[in-house]
Amino acid sequence: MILSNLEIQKALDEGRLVIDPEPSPRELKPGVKYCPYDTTAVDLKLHNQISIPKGGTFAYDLTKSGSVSDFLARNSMKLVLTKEQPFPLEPKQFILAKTFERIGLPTDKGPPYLAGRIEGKSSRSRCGVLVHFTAPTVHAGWNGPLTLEIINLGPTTFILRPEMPIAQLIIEEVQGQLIQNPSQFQNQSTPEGLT
Amino acid sequence: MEIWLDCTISPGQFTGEYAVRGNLFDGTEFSMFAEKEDLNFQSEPTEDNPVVGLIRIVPGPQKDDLLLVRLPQPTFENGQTITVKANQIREKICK
Repeated sequence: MILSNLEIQKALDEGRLVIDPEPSPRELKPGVKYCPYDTTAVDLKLHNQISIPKGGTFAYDLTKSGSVSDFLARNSMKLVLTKEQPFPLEPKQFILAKTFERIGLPTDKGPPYLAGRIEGKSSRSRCGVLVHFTAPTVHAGWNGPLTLEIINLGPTTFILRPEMPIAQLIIEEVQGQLIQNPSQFQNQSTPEGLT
Repeated sequence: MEIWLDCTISPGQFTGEYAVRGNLFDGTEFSMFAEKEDLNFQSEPTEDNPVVGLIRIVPGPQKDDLLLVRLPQPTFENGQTITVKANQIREKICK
């Protein structure tokens, strides 16, 4: 069940959902130009930090235990955007970014628990820009900013500015009880009986 | 009381984010990214000088000297909950 904008705001008030800083204003009033709450989603903004993966004569091998995060970090360039120096995302260019807001879906307030899904915005997609194209699920228990995988599939440069609305977050109610991620043990030699 | 796990920390893909490496109970390495607020270290790591530090965890069930712990973010290899040895865990009193 997808939460309406009013239910999203109620969840924020109850602490079942954390969006920090909280998007505002909560409603449109005469003279207010923009409200981040759509009927069934809330807009998230672009953080000023982006990361540009480097090319090279290497390959990512995600099966090499322990070295993946370090390798990814070493082969990416960090940039901080400013209003004066936005980032021109060229056609076919891929970058990583993150949301300005920290998202929290605490599991100590439920059930019912909440989960989320991050989606792009149609205005950006019309320019050929995908702001998030894999792993959209924000699981119950998540706490942190959301990483965005941004690629420009359009024919022209797209300007990324810090704190521009970049994605939308859909909040859903989880049916039933949950246990903490049992499937992860499929790849791990967990001692028998421990789970 | 905060509970922490031994780890090695180096710079991440964003400012304020860090690449974290640690070990499961059997010595297998795991890696992940974590925010600064979930880490504890004495000096700022650099690419050439990773630092030894701690990552915040939530402890789960224990059997003998083995313990399930939940990390603040998922690992690349084993999801968000891993098995470690009890002697890899540190406790810290919050003031």
